[in-house]
Amino acid sequence: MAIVAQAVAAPPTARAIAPASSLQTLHVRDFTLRADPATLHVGETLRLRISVRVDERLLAMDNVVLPNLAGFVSLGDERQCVSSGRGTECVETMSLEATALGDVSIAAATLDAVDASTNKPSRFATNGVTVRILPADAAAARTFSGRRLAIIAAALLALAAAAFAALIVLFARAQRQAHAPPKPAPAPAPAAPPQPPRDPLFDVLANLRAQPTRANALRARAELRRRAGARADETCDDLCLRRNLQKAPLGAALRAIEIASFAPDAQVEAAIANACPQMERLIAGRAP
Amino acid sequence: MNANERVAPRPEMLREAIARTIVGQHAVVNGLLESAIAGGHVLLEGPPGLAKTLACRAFASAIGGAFKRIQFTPDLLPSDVVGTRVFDQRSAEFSTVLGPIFANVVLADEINRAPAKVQSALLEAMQERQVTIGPVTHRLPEPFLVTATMNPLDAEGTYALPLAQMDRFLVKLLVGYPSLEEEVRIVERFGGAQPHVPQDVVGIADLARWQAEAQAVHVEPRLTRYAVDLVAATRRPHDYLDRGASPRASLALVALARARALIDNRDFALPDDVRAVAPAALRHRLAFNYRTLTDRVDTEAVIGRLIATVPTP
Repeated sequence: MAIVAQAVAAPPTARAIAPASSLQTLHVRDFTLRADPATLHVGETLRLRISVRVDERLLAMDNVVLPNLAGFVSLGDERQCVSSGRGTECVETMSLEATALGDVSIAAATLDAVDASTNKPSRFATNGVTVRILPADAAAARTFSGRRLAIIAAALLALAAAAFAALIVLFARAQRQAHAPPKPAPAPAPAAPPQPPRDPLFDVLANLRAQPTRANALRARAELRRRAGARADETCDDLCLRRNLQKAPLGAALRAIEIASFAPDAQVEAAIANACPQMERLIAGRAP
Repeated sequence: MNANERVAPRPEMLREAIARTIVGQHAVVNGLLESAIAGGHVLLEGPPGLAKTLACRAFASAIGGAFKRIQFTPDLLPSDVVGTRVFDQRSAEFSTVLGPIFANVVLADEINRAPAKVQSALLEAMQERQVTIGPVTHRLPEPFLVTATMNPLDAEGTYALPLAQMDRFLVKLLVGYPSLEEEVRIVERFGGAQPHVPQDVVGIADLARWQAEAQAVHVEPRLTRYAVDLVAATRRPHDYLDRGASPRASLALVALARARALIDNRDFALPDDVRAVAPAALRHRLAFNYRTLTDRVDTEAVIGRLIATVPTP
């Protein structure tokens, strides 16, 4: 039985999305989705290929969202990004086993990025494809075991290809570093959700508790002033007034550590003991 | 606490007492108090009718010391200020009549209306804290505080104080117009009635004690350096300045910061103290050039920008 894949030809389209600081800025030249073969029987393997071509030199393409693949079982995928002087082409090939009968539409894959031509966050979309899946015929049934073997072989091939692609990427990266081009490649934002960084105030506070000295009080003061966005010439009162911190935990902590920083030597420890709870409150609140 | 035990008066009480007479003008009242505690003299500048004289009178009356007022006029003589020797015909001897400068608080009203030799007599007394009349040198009473007023508007018939003499004042306070709400309160409070002046809220001994306490206020070396840096910033080449402030300004900054800390019930000074008193301590010690006039530059803004060039410690 034949299966027909109907590729809907469409240029990469962009529509506005909510701005996100983690998006890559890209000139997207091509963004397409292809299904191969055009026809297949239940149990046979479909290769779905998503390719992106951009002007920028990248190591990986972030924020690509794959379409819903209901009716298929994923057997594996391989990813490859190759950079050259003309930009980067990334290809993701998925091996899918068809499980449902009839015409199955696969929606467009999307890519979220800042469109370099408009400098606005945009969502690029590929074309969609429709594949026709027919019941397995007798010949196919006879060759069931052979098909399973072929699937396993295909999966192994896919793994090998993925390893090869990774080697190419690593090699290209090493080449770039060895030649040290004058303009650094833009580092893509990590795709993983951002982990909250460790609050530097923890270390400052721990230091202050371990050694309640004026020097450590001054370090804590510097960290609190940095956190409050103090200008070099601003005093504590000026800063609290400008940032409206008079009643905020950050204002209280600033005031307490200011006292600890300028009190007479005999009062420094007591002043630090008074400042530490204010700083703890600040860390607990995580907000000025 | 024993009922007969007297709570030691704090500077805050004096400030509150003066504030009951003077509507608004917080910077002026604070400046008067800080200068008195720092042991320095005050120059008040502002248009007529803004309670400059009343503020000085209220302050003097509230601290309960001897108060004398001298109206400076073009025909005033030095002897009218410091005193003179007169011949007593009955005893056939010269006797000394002490001038109005022999008081704890002296109000030199419109100081720029008297000629230079009278100004010099007063300013010498301010610096030396003693007066020589004939062969005898007389010590002025302690504490001794001169509050002088100056009207910047009527320049005709006035004698501008030279910079060297201005330097003798610890601070120069600018007296501005009140807000509309404050002016309504002024009309309600003083309309048709003599202003109430607080009497003997604290004693001269209290002021002397505060002065001693202020001397003991701790100033971190970093803070001293900050004060010196602020003054040094005025000496750098500047479009609108011919001359910067002298080291006396650095001394003034630290003394005033100590006084401000004491008023705030602290025995140590903070950068905020130095910063807060800086404009009043610097403005009369800077020699602005002619370009401030031709460019119509706000000299207070120039001072503010100079202060902003110095990082806090």
